[in-house]
Amino acid sequence: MPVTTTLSADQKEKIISINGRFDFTAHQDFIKAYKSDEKGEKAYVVDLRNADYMDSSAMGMLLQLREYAAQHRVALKNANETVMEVLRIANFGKLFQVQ
Amino acid sequence: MQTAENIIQYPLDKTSPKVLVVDDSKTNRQILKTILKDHGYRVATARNGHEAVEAVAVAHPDIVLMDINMPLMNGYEAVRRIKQGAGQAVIPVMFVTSLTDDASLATCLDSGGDDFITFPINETILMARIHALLRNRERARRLIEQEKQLSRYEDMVAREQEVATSIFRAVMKRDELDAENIRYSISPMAVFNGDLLLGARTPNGDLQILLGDFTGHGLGASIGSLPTSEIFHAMAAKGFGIVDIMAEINRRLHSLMPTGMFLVAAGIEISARTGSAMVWAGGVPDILIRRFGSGSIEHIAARHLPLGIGGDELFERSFDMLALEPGDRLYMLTDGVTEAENASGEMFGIGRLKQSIGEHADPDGIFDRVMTNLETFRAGHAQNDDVTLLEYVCNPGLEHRISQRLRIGAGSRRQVSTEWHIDMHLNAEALRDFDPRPVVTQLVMDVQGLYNHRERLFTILAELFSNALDHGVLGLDSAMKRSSEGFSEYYRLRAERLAGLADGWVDISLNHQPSMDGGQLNIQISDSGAGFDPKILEQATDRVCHDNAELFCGRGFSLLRQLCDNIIVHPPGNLTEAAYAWRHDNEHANPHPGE
Repeated sequence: MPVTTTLSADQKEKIISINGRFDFTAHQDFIKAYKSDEKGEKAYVVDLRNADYMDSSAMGMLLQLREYAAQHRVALKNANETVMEVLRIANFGKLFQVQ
Repeated sequence: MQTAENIIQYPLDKTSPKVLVVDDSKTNRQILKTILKDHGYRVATARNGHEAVEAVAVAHPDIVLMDINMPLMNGYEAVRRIKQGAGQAVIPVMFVTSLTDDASLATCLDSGGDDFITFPINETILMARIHALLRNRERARRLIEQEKQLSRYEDMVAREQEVATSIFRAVMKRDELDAENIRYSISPMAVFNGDLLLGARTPNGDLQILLGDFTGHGLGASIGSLPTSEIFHAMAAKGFGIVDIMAEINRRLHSLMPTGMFLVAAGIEISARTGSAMVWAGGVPDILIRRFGSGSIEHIAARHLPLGIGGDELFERSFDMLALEPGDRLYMLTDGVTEAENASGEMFGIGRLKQSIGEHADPDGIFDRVMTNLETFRAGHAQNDDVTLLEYVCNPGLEHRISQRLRIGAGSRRQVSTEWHIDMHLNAEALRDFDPRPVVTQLVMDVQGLYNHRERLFTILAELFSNALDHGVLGLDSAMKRSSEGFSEYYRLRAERLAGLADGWVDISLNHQPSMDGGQLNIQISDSGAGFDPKILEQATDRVCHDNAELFCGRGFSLLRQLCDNIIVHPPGNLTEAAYAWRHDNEHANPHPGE
């Protein structure tokens, strides 16, 4: 699976893990990963440990997730060097917790 | 003409398949007809190959059952002709024969037959074969229909793209980039990849460039370039600064585009007078500067988010200031350059780009070298993103000539002279967020028809206002700008102090008096600052800037002196008055030298 999810113990945070290329091919799975929650219900962590590439459509997906999370935080974790560079150039650190 | 029998149809259900039975034996025809009718088929008959070819043209059967040996024309020849005449229509043919030798049966298939069955006929097998052939025919027919649809769709897309391309071409104005010191590469279809390159000049001749890339591909990605281009050109023409332009584009795109779509973009503004460049960059790859003397390469990384992600609350006005010397080269690019892939999926990257820019002995060959290196690197590997690249070479002499030409080229308008007065008070809050220069220039032009004077008026206002704000209200020392480190520090400090500004004000007062042949505009600007020693200015009566450069050039007074008929600084130096006279019949209201 390109996208897998796990819930934190208190059910308040969902961890969405990306495997392989994070691009438009992951779109359906990525949306499915959070649309089962109510809007504004949970905080999210997008785990990029196994994402080896990320393009601008993936950045669009992250922005949609950010909108969906509403007042809750969205954190981006464990990005590799390539993905981190994309996040850095786009200055996504201003919108997301990049860890 | 057909005889009655051979075109008789047995209308059952009009949608049921129609079979053409071809046999010279009346008995055989009757047997087949009976079987077929029993299974709900419509039937037409023919007595030989010749009649069969005609019946196909008239009755349009869905399938043909064909005997081999017949008078006039045998089955093989009939099938050849039917298949030949069918064109794209698929008419399956099954030979029904009493011949059983291999050679005859092979000839059945060679002549274009799809199947054969031999007498005596087993009804179940016959019907199963007919069903199979009809199923194949239906599949083939659908495939052909889909191919047709696809090709119609492709034609339509091509036509629409043609129309869209011509509209986009009209909107994506960048004539100002067709200059000796600018080179760029952008594919004509790039707009469908979301790439965008715009160029304009402000009324006082400053060059503004926007290079960007919308997320996504196709029309969806390109549609946002229409409002972007409109805003860019409209605001540039009114003299708005590049940061204001980027802010407005951000606001508009945010309200127009769905979440997840955005524009990574860099806007730069190059002063025609000083050669300095103001850079606002959001989400784009580093802008590179190759210094003329040393050949060293510097970067400006994008400080900001891409445009359109959030409204004003997410837009940051900070920018980079860059001092350019003659021969310095500036490179702007989209990620199509850095992310161009070779056959093994490796990316071109900023490293290879820097190498291409740095290594070259002949600086004028750099642009071509970069394009060639990129092409070689990709080596025919399918282009996954368009390459948009721009090179700007600092050339103050050329910039000056271009801005001159702009002034002369501005059309003359009916000029009416009236008396009027405008006062404007800008407090700390207004100074932080509002640039009065374009608004005031526009006001003066609209009220007064001083269109031909807009560059001069804009420049005068710009100089007076920035003196009042930078040196008066913000207390910055213009001497800082003499070194390139100080230059950057100056603008950093300026942005910092402006953001934290709590007190202070600038007053602008405009007074116009008509005269016999035109009029005189008096501009008065005062500020809350401590002022400066106006004696410095009095020493500069000879209008020669260079001799006294150290003393006052930083404050732009030499320029003001050239543009204005009179300029007075009142003690303690925080109130400046400038007088600008103009005449109806002369585009150059002010025949002072040095223009």
